[in-house]
Amino acid sequence: MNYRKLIFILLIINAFCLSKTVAQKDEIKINFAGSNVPFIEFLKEIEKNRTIKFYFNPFWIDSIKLSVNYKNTPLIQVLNEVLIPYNLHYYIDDQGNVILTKEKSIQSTLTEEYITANAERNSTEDNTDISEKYKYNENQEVDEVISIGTKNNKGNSIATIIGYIKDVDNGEPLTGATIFIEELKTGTIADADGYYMLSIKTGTYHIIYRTFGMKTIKKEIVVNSDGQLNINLSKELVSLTEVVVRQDKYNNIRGMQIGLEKLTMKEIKELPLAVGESDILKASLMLPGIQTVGESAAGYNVRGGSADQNLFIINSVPVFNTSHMFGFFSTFNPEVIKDFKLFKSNIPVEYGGRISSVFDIQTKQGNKKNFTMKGGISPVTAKLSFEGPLIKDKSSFILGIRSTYSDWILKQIQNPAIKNSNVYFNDIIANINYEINDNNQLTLFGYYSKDNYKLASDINYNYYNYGSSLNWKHIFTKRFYSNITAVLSDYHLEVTNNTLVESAYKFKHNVKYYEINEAFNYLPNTKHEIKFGFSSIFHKIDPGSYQPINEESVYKNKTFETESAMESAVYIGDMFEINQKFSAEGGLRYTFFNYLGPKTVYSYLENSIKSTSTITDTTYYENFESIKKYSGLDIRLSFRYLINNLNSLKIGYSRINQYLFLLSNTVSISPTDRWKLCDPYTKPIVGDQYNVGYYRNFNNTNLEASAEIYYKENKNVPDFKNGADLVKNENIERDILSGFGRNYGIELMIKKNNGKLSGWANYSYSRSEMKFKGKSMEETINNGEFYPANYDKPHNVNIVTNLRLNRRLSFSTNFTYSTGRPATYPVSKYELNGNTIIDFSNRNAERIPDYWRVDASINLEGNLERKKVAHSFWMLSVYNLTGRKNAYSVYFEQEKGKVKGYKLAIYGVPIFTISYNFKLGNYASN
Amino acid sequence: MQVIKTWIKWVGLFCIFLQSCIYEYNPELSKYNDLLVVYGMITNAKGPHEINLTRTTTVYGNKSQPETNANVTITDDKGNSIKLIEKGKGNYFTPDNFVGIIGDSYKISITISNGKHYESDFVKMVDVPQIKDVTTEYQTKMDSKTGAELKGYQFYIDVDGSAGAQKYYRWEMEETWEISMPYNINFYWNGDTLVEKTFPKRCWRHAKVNEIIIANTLDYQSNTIKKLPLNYTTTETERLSIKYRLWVNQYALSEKSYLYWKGQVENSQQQGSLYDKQPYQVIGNIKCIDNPSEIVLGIFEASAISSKQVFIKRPQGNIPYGFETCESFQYSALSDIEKRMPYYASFSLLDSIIVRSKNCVDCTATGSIPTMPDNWE
Repeated sequence: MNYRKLIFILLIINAFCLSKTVAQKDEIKINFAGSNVPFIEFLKEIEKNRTIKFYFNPFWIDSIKLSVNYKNTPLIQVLNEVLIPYNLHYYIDDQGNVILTKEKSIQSTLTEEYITANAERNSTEDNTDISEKYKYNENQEVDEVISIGTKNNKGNSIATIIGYIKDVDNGEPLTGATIFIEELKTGTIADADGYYMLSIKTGTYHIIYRTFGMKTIKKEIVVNSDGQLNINLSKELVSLTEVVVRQDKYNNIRGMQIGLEKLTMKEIKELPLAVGESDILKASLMLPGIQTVGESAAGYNVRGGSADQNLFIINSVPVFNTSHMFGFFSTFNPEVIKDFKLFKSNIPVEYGGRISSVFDIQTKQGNKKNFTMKGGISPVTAKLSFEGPLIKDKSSFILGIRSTYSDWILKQIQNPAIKNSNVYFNDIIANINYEINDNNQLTLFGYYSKDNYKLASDINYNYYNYGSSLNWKHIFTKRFYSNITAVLSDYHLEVTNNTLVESAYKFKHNVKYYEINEAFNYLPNTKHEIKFGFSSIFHKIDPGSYQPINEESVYKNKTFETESAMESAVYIGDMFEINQKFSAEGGLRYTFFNYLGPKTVYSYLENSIKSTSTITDTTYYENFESIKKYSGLDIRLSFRYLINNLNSLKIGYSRINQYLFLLSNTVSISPTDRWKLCDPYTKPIVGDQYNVGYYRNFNNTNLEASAEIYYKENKNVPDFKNGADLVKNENIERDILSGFGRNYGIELMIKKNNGKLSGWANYSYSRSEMKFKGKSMEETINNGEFYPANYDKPHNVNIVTNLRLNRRLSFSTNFTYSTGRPATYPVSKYELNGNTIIDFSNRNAERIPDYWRVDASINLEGNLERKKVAHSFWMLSVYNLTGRKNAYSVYFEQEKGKVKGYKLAIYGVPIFTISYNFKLGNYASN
Repeated sequence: MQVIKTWIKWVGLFCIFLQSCIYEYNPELSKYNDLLVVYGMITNAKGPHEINLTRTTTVYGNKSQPETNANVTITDDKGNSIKLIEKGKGNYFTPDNFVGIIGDSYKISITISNGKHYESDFVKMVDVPQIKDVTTEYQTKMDSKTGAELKGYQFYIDVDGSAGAQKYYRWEMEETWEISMPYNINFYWNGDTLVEKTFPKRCWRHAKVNEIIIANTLDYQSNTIKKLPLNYTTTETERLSIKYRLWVNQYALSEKSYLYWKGQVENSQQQGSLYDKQPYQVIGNIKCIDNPSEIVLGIFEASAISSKQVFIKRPQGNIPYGFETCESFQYSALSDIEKRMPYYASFSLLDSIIVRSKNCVDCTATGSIPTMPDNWE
């Protein structure tokens, strides 16, 4: 307890320290005398021998001449005297950067973002020619006035500006770039295709395009009527220090979203990880509210939800099994991923079907200008990716391949059991896009991941996911565009048991998913942003089949009936900016689930336990005949109140229906668990979530902080009878229990995005409780009272830091702590027919020991020469630095009548790994 | 079941591969339920059949206490009842002449000394097919905890149940092995006189195989079981030093009984993997009549029985003996050994006295029996 408190106090102290350094900058004293000295010369003089630097637009000050005699005059006084008559303002940040601004109005959010953007650059900048040049070449180049639309438009009407924002070097869309109208203090964010849409009154404005790591562009525009403005942003010179992917700079304060987590690929890549493999899903565990049952366990628990309540989509393709190598890795190759968003609450209305969260992963589109290649090798995997244009500036591709060579390692180990093992996995991601014209764009995406392993036995596990999506983006008018997407996803699982010829069998399971969805975005005026659309999914699940694989085998060929269903949804949502302070977002999603034949359905005696003896009727349903229909109305509601530019308050409510779940009765989900649709006996899971969030950015620093509170209620949560066979079960409805779950918690997060030292720290208190009160004893768990779910780990602390020593060398550490997960411990023992039996009572009444871990890594970039063949990146990481033997599970065994407890630790020692990555071209080339 | 068993093996492998490991960890266990435990099975073989009544004990505690002085009766569905007699603490026996009849149903009624009544459900005695064969294979295995290589015999069972409808089985095994003391002695010193005495050199030892082995034929083409693994006997013990017998009893279970044993298997043998199931309290077919919410552990079963024995000899080749090392001391004079009494001595050719530990010369010293068991071949 005290330990946790201490960490929190440390965080707060840290925050104070930062603000103190800012204060010290005020102490600079000026000694200067001269007459008719250009102000610009004066500033250069001040910069000499000091860490201080000035940033300004030379146009503003070229007329200023000084005739002064300063002796030990504070800098602040000097600046006030000189600048105020010219209506200039200044801002000093903690790096010693002084930024001059012209208009007072810039003291808005814009100022704050603007300053942040400057600080980002300067913090990583050294005293080189580059920065000198850049300094006077400030980011606003109002070199030309752009006229949009036709001039004969009368009056003060509304015009819509659309366009694409892309990287000038490779044509890659700049997802999440912000577009800001200075005069109106309004703006928007570019979507995954770099596309934006903005409605404003006609007139003359300054428009600013900005995204992390790219030069900000400011243009003066005259808006006459609707029109298009495509912008190519070039990399900032100092973006040399940044890696690969730009941050989607989501504004915490202004954005509508509650419970949104984003990690940049840069953050992910610098986290020290267990086996030297960057992993977006494992990295997300350092965020508040995301947990697993145990170290390296497959399955993620978001805000107390079970693992099957998360939707994992990569370019719209759902992935049904996200684990490689029993959960040690995720199946998403980080090399080709551009952007990763995690919605923990208020999931946008265009998504549906899972009640806890959406992990939305976007791949890169591919370089539209040049061919490039990247690769890497870690102790377990090797990977390569290629990208380049197919038709220059019009069409590009990206291909990422990753494979393990652990099989080869196993073969080197001189142990017969291990030699008899194999572990193999690979994944391939490919994406092609084609811009037919300004109004039409096609994207074709393919995904494949495969695992095959056999460990010291003759049981072979083989599973693979493949999926594909085809997206057509069409712009109807300047205010209206649509995305039509066709999606296919297929998951196969196959277990072959060859241990004994006489009982050899093969088990197969297959999930098929076909989806068509159409999403429309419409901007009727400046206040509303409307989205609507529909989706239709056809699910086909083959629960499995058991087959003997030779003539000797005793097994019979057992095939289960497949189940199919249509899951359709229509939705509409509106983001409404009520006034400068208030915004509201609402959405309705009507979902309709139709469970279809062919299938045999049993009816059971009412109010009795379902079993062979209580069957009253058997009905056979024909192909596509409707067996059972469910429908539900999903709701999304959220309000944002902007207290001021640095503080906002948001509240939200959402309801989601879920029609698909995982048959799993293990504590952590196993890679061989099967999927199941809702059926006449298993009702859809309905999740309600209420949440409140407070967001604060600290003015003079890069710190952003948030506090979110949530309460969730989940109805019809499935669990299974004790001892139920979930694999060879034809009538699973007899073993499914239906329960109620409630989750609540508070998440506190503080994050520093930029600077020499960056990182975040969070604390969350979260509870997840279940209640199963059935008609009979065997349908009831813990006497029908609330009990903690397997993943109920109340206290959590994560601290991630990244210290950038210079452009080439950085040092990262992680600290993570959580309460031990609940476990069922024995209450007594007894003798039974010569065997000592351990007796258990209430489920999850005790807890395994607390978990904590420290990791560290050193990241070394290759040299920074501009012209070279390839650039390299080394990472040396230590996972579990202290070698703590964290318990994965605690279990009990009897030996000769004595009961002994054991704990299983997955990584009981520090794990050292070294990984190497390279890319063709220099550091900055993507 | 097979699937989960292999997960366990994996963990052993991870220990080596990823240097993860299993550590002893005994958390404090504050909760304790004091419950009655009933176990008994009646068969169609000649009695006496035994019913055991015990109480649960604390997890880290000693052996469970018997429930003594209870009134135990078995009643069949025709209304006949017999009273069981307590011989030894908590062990209740049917009369010798009691034989279960296939097709009849039986229940047990218990009144314990504090007056509480307990009763089982009626259990039907079902027929069981003959054991077709018990076979062995000499195999090398990996110890899932230590990773050490083991050698030994794996036993398998074949059952041809195609004629019947029986789908659920349980097997009990009893092992008997012959041992022989490695040394002869010439004299036994009782502290007073040197007595010329011989000790039984050839003995047999019995043990119950404490492993729950069950199977069902639900997914099989017929009710025929082929090569189902029973126990594994390693050369690490003395069991295989001369000759070894496995006696297999086969029982037919009801579905409920099968699920009961399956639960016990899941709780005891399938923990400590990456994918553990939640352990749970396994409840059988016995209820407290006075207080239906009181939990009673254990089960009462009725089954026909069929048995088979199989013998194996010491495997060929250079295998470890499995004997504990025999302590020997060599002395040159009788007077020197007086401080070690009583002792077992042999005179060596070089006229010195070699003293052996008792465990190396007297096979009855560790509880073995010097008489040949019935049906020993």
